[in-house]
Amino acid sequence: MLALTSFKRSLLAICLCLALLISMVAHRASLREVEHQVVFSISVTMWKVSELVFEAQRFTTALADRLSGQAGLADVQTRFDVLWSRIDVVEALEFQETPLIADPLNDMIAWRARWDVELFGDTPLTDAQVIAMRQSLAPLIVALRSGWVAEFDTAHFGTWAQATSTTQAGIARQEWMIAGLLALIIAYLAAEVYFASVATRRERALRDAADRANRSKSDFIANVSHEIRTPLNGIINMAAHLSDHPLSREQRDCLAVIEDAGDLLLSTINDVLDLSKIEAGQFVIETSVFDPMRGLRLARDLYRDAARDKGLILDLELPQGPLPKLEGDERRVRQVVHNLVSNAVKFTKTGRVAIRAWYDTDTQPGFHIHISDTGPGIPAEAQARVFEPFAQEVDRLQRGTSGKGLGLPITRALCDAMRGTVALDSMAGQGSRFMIFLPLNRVEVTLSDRRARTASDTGAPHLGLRVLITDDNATNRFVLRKLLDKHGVEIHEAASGREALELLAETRVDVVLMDIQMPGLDGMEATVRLIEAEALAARTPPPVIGVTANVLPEQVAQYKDIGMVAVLAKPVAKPLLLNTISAVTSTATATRGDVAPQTQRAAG
Amino acid sequence: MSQSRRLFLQVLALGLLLPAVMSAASPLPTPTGQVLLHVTGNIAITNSEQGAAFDRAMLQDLDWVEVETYTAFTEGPQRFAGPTLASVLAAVGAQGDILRATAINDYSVQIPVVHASAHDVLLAMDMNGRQMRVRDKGPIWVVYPMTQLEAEAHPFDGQMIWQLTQIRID
Repeated sequence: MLALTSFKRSLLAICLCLALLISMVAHRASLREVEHQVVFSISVTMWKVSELVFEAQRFTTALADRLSGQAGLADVQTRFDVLWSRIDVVEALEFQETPLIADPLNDMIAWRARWDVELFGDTPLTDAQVIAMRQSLAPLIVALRSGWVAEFDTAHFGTWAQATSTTQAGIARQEWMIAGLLALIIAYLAAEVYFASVATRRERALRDAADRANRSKSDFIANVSHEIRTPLNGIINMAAHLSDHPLSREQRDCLAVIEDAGDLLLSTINDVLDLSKIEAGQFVIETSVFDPMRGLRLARDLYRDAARDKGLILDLELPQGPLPKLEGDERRVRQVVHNLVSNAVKFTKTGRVAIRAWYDTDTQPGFHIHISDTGPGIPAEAQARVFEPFAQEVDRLQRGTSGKGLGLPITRALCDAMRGTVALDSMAGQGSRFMIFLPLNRVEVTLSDRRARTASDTGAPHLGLRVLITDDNATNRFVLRKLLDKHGVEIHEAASGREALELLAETRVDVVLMDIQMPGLDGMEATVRLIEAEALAARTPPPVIGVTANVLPEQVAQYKDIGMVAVLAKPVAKPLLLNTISAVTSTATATRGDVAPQTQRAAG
Repeated sequence: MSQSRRLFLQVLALGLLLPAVMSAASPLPTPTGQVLLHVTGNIAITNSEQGAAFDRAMLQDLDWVEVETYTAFTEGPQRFAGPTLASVLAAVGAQGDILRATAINDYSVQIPVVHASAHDVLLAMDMNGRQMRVRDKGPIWVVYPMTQLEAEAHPFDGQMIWQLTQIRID
């Protein structure tokens, strides 16, 4: 059965069903035929018995006629013979099983044998003999008739029907055939179900294997990115630190190359990591209130030089009046804008790239960003595929350009995650327009927002705080110290979790920067113990900021579960570090926990 | 029925038919013995006021044949002898399509006249060499010669009337 194609199998099943149908029709016809035969047979039997009773009565009448002289001996003999033949007919029906009929019938046979001798004898029949003949027959008639009535009531009808049916063998053959066909069909169905389940199991096994392979690929990518990020942390931050020192022009140029290369490498790693998260369905959208204007201006400023170098105009078109503050993931919104602007600048040779943004309150409420260019455009047949990771069109479009090739797939995944859309309007040779719609809520500006913005915009705030840097790696401690040392921060250092706890038992600090992966007591365990110890001493523990390269969403969630107020990914950018420290310390005295950005799982 | 038997019967019938046909042209004699069969209705030749009456001797003078055959009412092969229905119909100059046959007990059936020649129908009077009494389905039993297989299908059971005494031609 397995060797047959499913088409042939279904054809076979249809043939079986047809055969079954035909057999059932034939069987029905046979049953009706049998029914007719039974009815006929019963009526014949009934008729034969009633004929016998009738002939017996007629013979009685003939005897009476003989006594009155109206009938001759020959007439009586004829009627006797007719009666004789009727007895034979009923005897042939084989009533042995039914004594109520068989007994009077046997009596009649004995009766006719006795009177046969006298009726056809040499001596003429006397009147006394005639009377005796009649009197001896009368009870037999009564007995036969009552036996017949008793036997042939409805209670015995079925028995009669059974006894008289003659084509039971044919019916049985047809029933066997129907049963056989049914068995075949059931066997077929069972086989179908079995093979379907085998196929499902095989498919599931393949899918599981593919999932496992994908997971291990994602793990591998995450590990590799961790391995790359840690040294990159050192390179980028040291370059940044070095640029604060007096340098010769040549040294500054070299440093600029190092910084550019480092930034590019970091953003590539971030893209790869994003894509692996998308593929693993581990994408997390963080919600906070932000000013979309800043991101848009930043994108324009970032790519303005590159555009000018190519002779392109880069415009930012904004509606009159300020854009409202939005509630959403600012980092992801910026990432989307950067991806599209960077692509547009990259692929456009002459003309213009325009960023248009507005907040729509009517037809499609939400934040709209359109990025249009006068580049080569994308042919209609390729448009659907430019959003697919590793699509050939992407390769072809970006051949000869220094692109990563993941920008558009990531853009679409980000828009999906924010429940928005990204659409493309383009024709080959006519330029392209990418249209982003994000259903973000508007937020009324509050004082605290204003203050937060002011704080982060000042650039070099004087924090005046005590900070404990906990990291087993001396380079990392050095980098963090360098990032903070111009901001009025009193630095304490610990090379392990245990060391940190010992230090904290004696010294009060305002914030703890905690590495996670450390030999001995790791960052998570140290944080847990710190919070317990402070609770025992009835003190408020200092806010703990995780500083780690292990920033997969579930890991971040885990860190926050045990009590860290924020998590920073290595390599840490200076503004983010300062902002985070100032944010957690300014609210630590008020309500703990509010500062950490709310996280939500992205759909899908 | 085997081919040779059928041929034999046909030759026999032909041999006996000649005197029957000759006698049919002549008026019927008056029966001298017990009348066994009355033929009435649409007939040309009569020997009484009611129609034609036959005693055994008159019937024996017709196309008398002997066949071995099977019936649904008997077990195994049976030898029947008697005049063919066709010869009886010829003897009375029957003109009609249907004949009504009636038995002693007033049971009656209709038989198409064409059956007489088409099925070699016999008015059997002797069974297995013995004259049939009334008690043995005599004096006349309408017999359709058949093979065992044909008899099992009961094709002419309705027409095979016994204790026949009257035929009316319609």
